[in-house]
Amino acid sequence: MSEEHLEKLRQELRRGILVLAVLGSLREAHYGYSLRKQLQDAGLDIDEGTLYPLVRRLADQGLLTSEWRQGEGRERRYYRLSAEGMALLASLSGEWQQLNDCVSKILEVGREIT
Amino acid sequence: MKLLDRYMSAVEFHLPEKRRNEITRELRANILDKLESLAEQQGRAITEDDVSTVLKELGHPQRVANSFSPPQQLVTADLFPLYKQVLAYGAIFMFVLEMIRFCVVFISSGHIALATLFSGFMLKALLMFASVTGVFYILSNPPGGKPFFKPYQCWSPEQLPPVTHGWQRISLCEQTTEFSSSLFFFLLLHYPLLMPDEVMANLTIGFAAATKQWVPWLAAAVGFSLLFNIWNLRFSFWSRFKLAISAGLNLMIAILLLCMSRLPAIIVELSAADERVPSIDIANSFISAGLLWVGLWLVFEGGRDLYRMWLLSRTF
Repeated sequence: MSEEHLEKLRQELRRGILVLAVLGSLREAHYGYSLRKQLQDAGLDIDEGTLYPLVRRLADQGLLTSEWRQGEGRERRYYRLSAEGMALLASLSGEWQQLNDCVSKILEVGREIT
Repeated sequence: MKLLDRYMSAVEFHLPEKRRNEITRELRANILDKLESLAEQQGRAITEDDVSTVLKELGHPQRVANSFSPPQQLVTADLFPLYKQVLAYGAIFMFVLEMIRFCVVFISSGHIALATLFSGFMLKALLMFASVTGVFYILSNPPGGKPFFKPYQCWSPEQLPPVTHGWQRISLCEQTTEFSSSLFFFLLLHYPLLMPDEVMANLTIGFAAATKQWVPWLAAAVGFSLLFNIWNLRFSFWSRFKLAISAGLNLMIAILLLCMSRLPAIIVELSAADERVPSIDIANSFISAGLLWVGLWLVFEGGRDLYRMWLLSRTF
Protein backbone atom coordinates (compact mmCIF):
# COMPACT_ATOMS: atom_id res chain seq x y z
CA MET A 1 0.00 0.00 0.00
CA SER A 2 1.35 3.42 -0.93
CA GLU A 3 2.14 6.02 1.72
CA GLU A 4 -0.43 8.34 0.14
CA HIS A 5 -3.20 5.73 0.36
CA LEU A 6 -2.29 4.97 3.97
CA GLU A 7 -2.42 8.69 4.83
CA LYS A 8 -5.86 8.97 3.23
CA LEU A 9 -7.20 6.05 5.27
CA ARG A 10 -5.63 7.46 8.42
CA GLN A 11 -7.32 10.82 7.82
CA GLU A 12 -10.67 9.13 7.27
CA LEU A 13 -10.30 7.23 10.53
CA ARG A 14 -9.38 10.39 12.45
CA ARG A 15 -12.08 12.55 10.86
CA GLY A 16 -14.82 10.63 12.60
CA ILE A 17 -13.41 11.15 16.06
CA LEU A 18 -12.39 14.81 15.71
CA VAL A 19 -15.82 16.11 16.72
CA LEU A 20 -15.81 13.91 19.80
CA ALA A 21 -12.29 15.04 20.75
CA VAL A 22 -13.17 18.72 20.31
CA LEU A 23 -16.43 18.44 22.24
CA GLY A 24 -14.61 16.54 25.00
CA SER A 25 -11.94 19.25 25.25
CA LEU A 26 -14.46 22.08 25.37
CA ARG A 27 -16.02 20.98 28.64
CA GLU A 28 -13.75 23.78 29.85
CA ALA A 29 -13.43 27.06 27.97
CA HIS A 30 -10.69 27.36 25.33
CA TYR A 31 -9.73 29.79 22.60
CA GLY A 32 -8.63 28.42 19.20
CA TYR A 33 -4.92 28.14 19.78
CA SER A 34 -5.21 26.82 23.35
CA LEU A 35 -7.65 24.16 22.17
CA ARG A 36 -5.18 23.05 19.53
CA LYS A 37 -2.39 22.92 22.10
CA GLN A 38 -4.50 20.85 24.45
CA LEU A 39 -5.37 18.32 21.74
CA GLN A 40 -1.72 18.25 20.67
CA ASP A 41 -0.56 17.60 24.23
CA ALA A 42 -3.07 14.74 24.40
CA GLY A 43 -1.46 13.23 21.27
CA LEU A 44 -3.99 14.42 18.68
CA ASP A 45 -2.30 16.80 16.26
CA ILE A 46 -5.03 18.51 14.25
CA ASP A 47 -4.25 20.82 11.38
CA GLU A 48 -5.37 24.41 12.08
CA GLY A 49 -7.12 24.57 8.74
CA THR A 50 -9.35 21.74 9.94
CA LEU A 51 -9.75 22.64 13.61
CA TYR A 52 -10.82 26.30 13.42
CA PRO A 53 -13.56 25.80 10.80
CA LEU A 54 -14.78 22.73 12.73
CA VAL A 55 -15.13 24.76 15.92
CA ARG A 56 -17.04 27.46 14.01
CA ARG A 57 -19.37 24.82 12.54
CA LEU A 58 -20.08 23.32 15.96
CA ALA A 59 -20.80 26.80 17.32
CA ASP A 60 -23.15 27.53 14.39
CA GLN A 61 -25.00 24.31 15.21
CA GLY A 62 -25.57 25.55 18.76
CA LEU A 63 -23.33 22.92 20.36
CA LEU A 64 -20.88 25.55 21.66
CA THR A 65 -21.27 28.96 23.27
CA SER A 66 -18.64 31.62 22.70
CA GLU A 67 -17.56 34.97 24.08
CA TRP A 68 -14.80 37.48 23.37
CA ARG A 69 -12.46 38.12 26.30
CA GLN A 70 -9.55 40.54 26.70
CA GLY A 71 -6.35 39.04 28.04
CA GLU A 72 -2.59 39.63 27.76
CA GLY A 73 -3.18 42.73 25.67
CA ARG A 74 -5.22 40.91 23.04
CA GLU A 75 -8.78 39.74 22.52
CA ARG A 76 -9.58 36.06 22.16
CA ARG A 77 -12.74 34.16 21.45
CA TYR A 78 -13.43 31.49 24.07
CA TYR A 79 -15.63 28.49 23.36
CA ARG A 80 -17.27 25.98 25.67
CA LEU A 81 -19.97 23.34 25.46
CA SER A 82 -23.60 24.47 25.49
CA ALA A 83 -26.29 22.34 27.18
CA GLU A 84 -27.05 20.80 23.79
CA GLY A 85 -23.37 20.10 23.25
CA MET A 86 -23.14 18.42 26.68
CA ALA A 87 -26.03 16.09 25.79
CA LEU A 88 -24.45 15.27 22.43
CA LEU A 89 -21.08 14.61 24.04
CA ALA A 90 -22.66 12.13 26.49
CA SER A 91 -24.41 10.35 23.64
CA LEU A 92 -21.35 10.26 21.37
CA SER A 93 -19.08 9.12 24.23
CA GLY A 94 -21.33 6.11 24.82
CA GLU A 95 -21.30 5.34 21.12
CA TRP A 96 -17.51 5.69 20.98
CA GLN A 97 -17.01 3.33 23.96
CA GLN A 98 -19.25 0.75 22.35
CA LEU A 99 -17.47 0.99 19.01
CA ASN A 100 -14.07 0.89 20.66
CA ASP A 101 -15.00 -2.28 22.58
CA CYS A 102 -16.30 -3.97 19.42
CA VAL A 103 -13.30 -3.06 17.28
CA SER A 104 -10.88 -4.03 20.06
CA LYS A 105 -12.52 -7.45 20.29
CA ILE A 106 -12.34 -7.91 16.51
CA LEU A 107 -8.68 -6.88 16.44
CA GLU A 108 -7.93 -9.17 19.39
CA VAL A 109 -9.51 -12.17 17.61
CA GLY A 110 -7.59 -11.30 14.43
CA ARG A 111 -4.33 -11.17 16.37
CA GLU A 112 -4.96 -14.64 17.87
CA ILE A 113 -5.62 -16.12 14.42
CA THR A 114 -2.44 -14.65 12.89
CA MET B 1 3.12 42.30 10.46
CA LYS B 2 2.57 43.60 6.98
CA LEU B 3 2.37 40.03 5.72
CA LEU B 4 -0.33 39.15 8.25
CA ASP B 5 -2.41 42.16 7.17
CA ARG B 6 -2.05 41.18 3.52
CA TYR B 7 -2.99 37.60 4.33
CA MET B 8 -6.06 38.62 6.34
CA SER B 9 -7.15 40.95 3.55
CA ALA B 10 -6.86 38.09 1.05
CA VAL B 11 -8.86 35.73 3.29
CA GLU B 12 -11.48 38.43 3.87
CA PHE B 13 -11.95 38.86 0.12
CA HIS B 14 -13.05 35.20 -0.26
CA LEU B 15 -15.41 35.15 2.71
CA PRO B 16 -19.16 35.82 2.55
CA GLU B 17 -19.80 39.42 3.56
CA LYS B 18 -22.07 38.51 6.47
CA ARG B 19 -19.39 36.50 8.27
CA ARG B 20 -16.32 38.40 7.12
CA ASN B 21 -15.57 40.44 10.27
CA GLU B 22 -16.32 37.67 12.73
CA ILE B 23 -14.11 35.07 11.05
CA THR B 24 -11.13 37.31 10.25
CA ARG B 25 -11.15 38.76 13.75
CA GLU B 26 -10.94 35.27 15.24
CA LEU B 27 -8.46 33.93 12.70
CA ARG B 28 -6.13 36.88 13.30
CA ALA B 29 -6.26 36.23 17.05
CA ASN B 30 -5.40 32.56 16.51
CA ILE B 31 -2.46 33.40 14.22
CA LEU B 32 -1.14 35.97 16.69
CA ASP B 33 -1.34 33.33 19.44
CA LYS B 34 0.68 30.95 17.32
CA LEU B 35 3.30 33.61 16.54
CA GLU B 36 3.55 34.49 20.23
CA SER B 37 4.09 30.84 21.10
CA LEU B 38 6.76 30.56 18.40
CA ALA B 39 8.57 33.62 19.79
CA GLU B 40 8.56 32.02 23.24
CA GLN B 41 9.98 28.76 21.88
CA GLN B 42 12.78 30.50 19.95
CA GLY B 43 13.52 33.10 22.61
CA ARG B 44 13.55 36.01 20.15
CA ALA B 45 11.24 38.43 18.41
CA ILE B 46 9.27 37.21 15.40
CA THR B 47 10.52 38.20 11.93
CA GLU B 48 8.56 38.55 8.70
CA ASP B 49 10.15 35.25 7.58
CA ASP B 50 8.59 33.51 10.59
CA VAL B 51 5.24 35.08 9.77
CA SER B 52 5.56 33.90 6.19
CA THR B 53 6.31 30.31 7.33
CA VAL B 54 3.32 30.27 9.71
CA LEU B 55 0.97 31.63 7.04
CA LYS B 56 2.21 29.09 4.49
CA GLU B 57 1.50 26.31 6.99
CA LEU B 58 -2.01 27.64 7.46
CA GLY B 59 -2.67 27.45 3.72
CA HIS B 60 -3.73 29.52 0.73
CA PRO B 61 -6.14 32.36 1.71
CA GLN B 62 -8.88 31.11 -0.62
CA ARG B 63 -8.63 27.57 0.76
CA VAL B 64 -8.73 28.85 4.34
CA ALA B 65 -11.75 31.06 3.56
CA ASN B 66 -13.56 28.17 1.84
CA SER B 67 -13.03 25.91 4.83
CA PHE B 68 -15.24 28.27 6.87
CA SER B 69 -18.11 28.04 4.39
CA PRO B 70 -20.49 25.06 4.36
CA PRO B 71 -19.26 22.55 1.75
CA GLN B 72 -21.06 22.88 -1.59
CA GLN B 73 -21.20 20.31 -4.37
CA LEU B 74 -22.34 20.76 -7.92
CA VAL B 75 -24.06 17.37 -7.65
CA THR B 76 -24.07 15.33 -4.44
CA ALA B 77 -22.77 11.76 -4.42
CA ASP B 78 -26.33 10.58 -3.66
CA LEU B 79 -27.76 12.24 -6.77
CA PHE B 80 -24.82 11.54 -9.08
CA PRO B 81 -25.99 8.16 -10.52
CA LEU B 82 -29.38 9.73 -11.31
CA TYR B 83 -27.61 12.77 -12.82
CA LYS B 84 -25.58 10.54 -15.17
CA GLN B 85 -28.72 8.65 -16.20
CA VAL B 86 -30.63 11.87 -16.95
CA LEU B 87 -27.66 13.15 -18.99
CA ALA B 88 -27.57 9.91 -21.01
CA TYR B 89 -31.30 10.01 -21.75
CA GLY B 90 -31.06 13.75 -22.44
CA ALA B 91 -28.32 13.06 -25.02
CA ILE B 92 -30.54 10.45 -26.70
CA PHE B 93 -33.47 12.86 -26.75
CA MET B 94 -31.33 15.60 -28.30
CA PHE B 95 -29.95 13.17 -30.87
CA VAL B 96 -33.47 12.09 -31.83
CA LEU B 97 -34.58 15.74 -32.16
CA GLU B 98 -31.61 16.48 -34.39
CA MET B 99 -32.22 13.26 -36.35
CA ILE B 100 -35.81 14.36 -37.05
CA ARG B 101 -34.52 17.70 -38.32
CA PHE B 102 -31.89 15.91 -40.43
CA CYS B 103 -34.54 13.57 -41.91
CA VAL B 104 -36.89 16.43 -42.76
CA VAL B 105 -34.06 18.33 -44.50
CA PHE B 106 -32.97 15.18 -46.35
CA ILE B 107 -36.45 14.25 -47.50
CA SER B 108 -37.52 17.73 -48.49
CA SER B 109 -34.28 18.77 -50.24
CA GLY B 110 -32.30 15.60 -50.80
CA HIS B 111 -29.38 17.27 -49.01
CA ILE B 112 -27.39 15.05 -46.59
CA ALA B 113 -26.48 17.68 -43.96
CA LEU B 114 -24.09 15.58 -41.84
CA ALA B 115 -22.08 18.59 -40.60
CA THR B 116 -25.32 20.35 -39.55
CA LEU B 117 -26.45 17.13 -37.84
CA PHE B 118 -23.20 17.00 -35.85
CA SER B 119 -23.03 20.71 -34.95
CA GLY B 120 -26.76 20.85 -34.12
CA PHE B 121 -26.44 17.82 -31.87
CA MET B 122 -23.37 19.25 -30.09
CA LEU B 123 -25.12 22.57 -29.45
CA LYS B 124 -28.30 20.92 -28.16
CA ALA B 125 -26.28 18.46 -26.06
CA LEU B 126 -24.30 21.31 -24.45
CA LEU B 127 -27.49 23.24 -23.68
CA MET B 128 -29.05 20.10 -22.22
CA PHE B 129 -25.89 19.43 -20.14
CA ALA B 130 -25.95 22.97 -18.72
CA SER B 131 -29.70 22.83 -17.95
CA VAL B 132 -29.57 19.39 -16.32
CA THR B 133 -26.50 20.37 -14.28
CA GLY B 134 -28.28 23.56 -13.16
CA VAL B 135 -31.33 21.60 -12.01
CA PHE B 136 -29.17 19.06 -10.15
CA TYR B 137 -27.18 21.90 -8.54
CA ILE B 138 -30.41 23.27 -7.07
CA LEU B 139 -31.47 19.76 -6.00
CA SER B 140 -28.05 19.21 -4.40
CA ASN B 141 -28.01 22.59 -2.64
CA PRO B 142 -31.68 23.26 -1.88
CA PRO B 143 -32.58 26.67 -0.44
CA GLY B 144 -33.05 26.22 3.31
CA GLY B 145 -31.07 22.98 3.26
CA LYS B 146 -34.16 20.74 3.16
CA PRO B 147 -33.95 18.32 0.21
CA PHE B 148 -36.78 18.50 -2.35
CA PHE B 149 -36.77 14.73 -2.75
CA LYS B 150 -34.69 11.74 -1.80
CA PRO B 151 -33.76 9.42 -4.65
CA TYR B 152 -33.89 5.65 -4.26
CA GLN B 153 -36.69 5.80 -1.64
CA CYS B 154 -39.65 4.54 -3.71
CA TRP B 155 -38.70 1.06 -4.78
CA SER B 156 -39.31 -2.56 -3.91
CA PRO B 157 -37.52 -5.76 -4.91
CA GLU B 158 -40.70 -6.84 -6.73
CA GLN B 159 -40.34 -3.90 -9.13
CA LEU B 160 -36.85 -4.93 -10.27
CA PRO B 161 -36.74 -6.39 -13.82
CA PRO B 162 -36.64 -10.20 -13.97
CA VAL B 163 -33.17 -10.35 -15.53
CA THR B 164 -31.02 -13.46 -15.17
CA HIS B 165 -28.76 -13.19 -18.25
CA GLY B 166 -26.48 -10.25 -19.00
CA TRP B 167 -27.79 -9.97 -22.57
CA GLN B 168 -31.33 -9.36 -21.25
CA ARG B 169 -30.36 -5.77 -20.45
CA ILE B 170 -30.80 -3.54 -23.49
CA SER B 171 -27.83 -1.18 -23.56
CA LEU B 172 -28.26 2.54 -24.07
CA CYS B 173 -26.28 2.27 -27.32
CA GLU B 174 -28.62 -0.46 -28.61
CA GLN B 175 -31.72 1.55 -27.61
CA THR B 176 -30.42 4.67 -29.35
CA THR B 177 -29.39 2.88 -32.55
CA GLU B 178 -32.67 0.99 -32.88
CA PHE B 179 -34.81 4.00 -32.09
CA SER B 180 -32.95 6.39 -34.40
CA SER B 181 -32.89 3.98 -37.36
CA SER B 182 -36.61 3.17 -36.94
CA LEU B 183 -37.40 6.87 -36.77
CA PHE B 184 -35.30 7.62 -39.85
CA PHE B 185 -37.01 4.95 -41.98
CA PHE B 186 -40.44 5.86 -40.61
CA LEU B 187 -39.95 9.46 -41.73
CA LEU B 188 -38.43 8.38 -45.06
CA LEU B 189 -41.42 6.20 -45.86
CA HIS B 190 -43.79 9.05 -44.99
CA TYR B 191 -41.96 11.64 -47.09
CA PRO B 192 -45.06 12.78 -49.03
CA LEU B 193 -46.56 14.03 -45.75
CA LEU B 194 -43.43 16.00 -44.85
CA MET B 195 -42.67 17.62 -48.18
CA PRO B 196 -44.13 20.93 -49.32
CA ASP B 197 -46.36 20.60 -52.43
CA GLU B 198 -44.00 22.62 -54.66
CA VAL B 199 -41.09 20.33 -53.74
CA MET B 200 -43.24 17.25 -54.44
CA ALA B 201 -44.16 18.65 -57.84
CA ASN B 202 -40.49 19.10 -58.78
CA LEU B 203 -39.17 15.73 -57.61
CA THR B 204 -36.98 14.01 -60.18
CA ILE B 205 -36.95 10.61 -58.46
CA GLY B 206 -39.75 8.62 -56.78
CA PHE B 207 -40.75 5.10 -55.81
CA ALA B 208 -41.62 2.77 -58.69
CA ALA B 209 -45.24 1.61 -58.95
CA ALA B 210 -44.30 -1.91 -57.77
CA THR B 211 -42.44 -0.46 -54.78
CA LYS B 212 -45.43 1.69 -53.81
CA GLN B 213 -47.48 -1.51 -53.26
CA TRP B 214 -45.01 -2.63 -50.57
CA VAL B 215 -44.51 0.77 -48.90
CA PRO B 216 -47.71 0.79 -46.74
CA TRP B 217 -46.82 -2.65 -45.32
CA LEU B 218 -43.26 -1.59 -44.64
CA ALA B 219 -44.41 1.73 -43.13
CA ALA B 220 -46.80 -0.12 -40.80
CA ALA B 221 -44.07 -2.58 -39.71
CA VAL B 222 -41.56 0.23 -39.12
CA GLY B 223 -44.26 2.18 -37.21
CA PHE B 224 -44.80 -0.81 -34.90
CA SER B 225 -41.04 -1.13 -34.55
CA LEU B 226 -40.83 2.54 -33.53
CA LEU B 227 -43.49 2.07 -30.85
CA PHE B 228 -41.70 -1.07 -29.68
CA ASN B 229 -38.44 0.89 -29.39
CA ILE B 230 -40.18 3.53 -27.27
CA TRP B 231 -41.38 0.72 -25.01
CA ASN B 232 -37.77 -0.54 -24.80
CA LEU B 233 -36.56 2.92 -23.77
CA ARG B 234 -38.89 2.73 -20.75
CA PHE B 235 -38.40 -0.98 -19.91
CA SER B 236 -34.89 -1.74 -21.08
CA PHE B 237 -34.74 -5.52 -20.70
CA TRP B 238 -35.74 -8.53 -22.76
CA SER B 239 -38.54 -10.83 -21.65
CA ARG B 240 -39.92 -13.81 -23.59
CA PHE B 241 -42.94 -11.71 -24.63
CA LYS B 242 -40.79 -8.84 -25.87
CA LEU B 243 -38.45 -11.24 -27.68
CA ALA B 244 -41.46 -12.77 -29.42
CA ILE B 245 -42.60 -9.34 -30.60
CA SER B 246 -39.06 -8.42 -31.66
CA ALA B 247 -38.65 -11.71 -33.59
CA GLY B 248 -42.02 -11.16 -35.29
CA LEU B 249 -41.16 -7.58 -36.30
CA ASN B 250 -37.64 -8.45 -37.48
CA LEU B 251 -38.85 -11.35 -39.60
CA MET B 252 -41.79 -9.40 -41.00
CA ILE B 253 -39.57 -6.46 -42.04
CA ALA B 254 -36.94 -8.93 -43.37
CA ILE B 255 -39.51 -10.63 -45.62
CA LEU B 256 -40.73 -7.26 -46.92
CA LEU B 257 -37.17 -6.05 -47.63
CA LEU B 258 -36.15 -9.33 -49.30
CA CYS B 259 -39.25 -9.21 -51.52
CA MET B 260 -38.57 -5.57 -52.41
CA SER B 261 -34.93 -6.38 -53.23
CA ARG B 262 -36.20 -8.72 -56.00
CA LEU B 263 -38.14 -5.94 -57.76
CA PRO B 264 -36.71 -4.88 -61.15
CA ALA B 265 -36.61 -1.20 -60.05
CA ILE B 266 -37.12 0.35 -56.62
CA ILE B 267 -36.99 3.97 -57.74
CA VAL B 268 -37.78 5.55 -61.10
CA GLU B 269 -37.21 8.95 -62.67
CA LEU B 270 -40.19 11.27 -62.67
CA SER B 271 -38.81 14.03 -64.85
CA ALA B 272 -39.14 14.43 -68.60
CA ALA B 273 -37.06 12.26 -70.94
CA ASP B 274 -34.58 15.05 -71.83
CA GLU B 275 -33.71 15.44 -68.11
CA ARG B 276 -32.85 11.78 -67.62
CA VAL B 277 -31.08 10.95 -64.37
CA PRO B 278 -27.96 9.06 -65.49
CA SER B 279 -27.26 7.12 -62.32
CA ILE B 280 -30.74 5.68 -61.80
CA ASP B 281 -29.70 2.12 -62.72
CA ILE B 282 -26.67 2.22 -60.44
CA ALA B 283 -28.85 3.64 -57.62
CA ASN B 284 -31.35 0.80 -58.08
CA SER B 285 -28.55 -1.78 -57.94
CA PHE B 286 -27.23 -0.25 -54.70
CA ILE B 287 -30.68 -0.03 -53.11
CA SER B 288 -31.50 -3.66 -54.08
CA ALA B 289 -28.21 -4.90 -52.62
CA GLY B 290 -28.78 -2.79 -49.49
CA LEU B 291 -32.29 -4.17 -49.00
CA LEU B 292 -30.98 -7.72 -49.48
CA TRP B 293 -28.22 -7.34 -46.86
CA VAL B 294 -30.43 -5.52 -44.33
CA GLY B 295 -33.09 -8.21 -44.87
CA LEU B 296 -30.55 -10.97 -44.23
CA TRP B 297 -29.29 -9.17 -41.12
CA LEU B 298 -32.87 -8.91 -39.82
CA VAL B 299 -33.34 -12.66 -40.47
CA PHE B 300 -30.27 -13.22 -38.28
CA GLU B 301 -31.67 -10.88 -35.57
CA GLY B 302 -35.06 -12.60 -35.69
CA GLY B 303 -33.34 -15.99 -35.36
CA ARG B 304 -31.29 -14.69 -32.43
CA ASP B 305 -34.48 -13.46 -30.74
CA LEU B 306 -36.04 -16.92 -31.13
CA TYR B 307 -32.89 -18.58 -29.73
CA ARG B 308 -32.94 -16.22 -26.73
CA MET B 309 -36.62 -16.99 -26.20
CA TRP B 310 -35.69 -20.66 -26.06
CA LEU B 311 -32.90 -19.88 -23.56
CA LEU B 312 -35.32 -17.96 -21.33
CA SER B 313 -37.94 -20.73 -21.52
CA ARG B 314 -35.30 -23.12 -20.16
CA THR B 315 -34.42 -20.74 -17.31
CA PHE B 316 -37.93 -20.33 -15.88
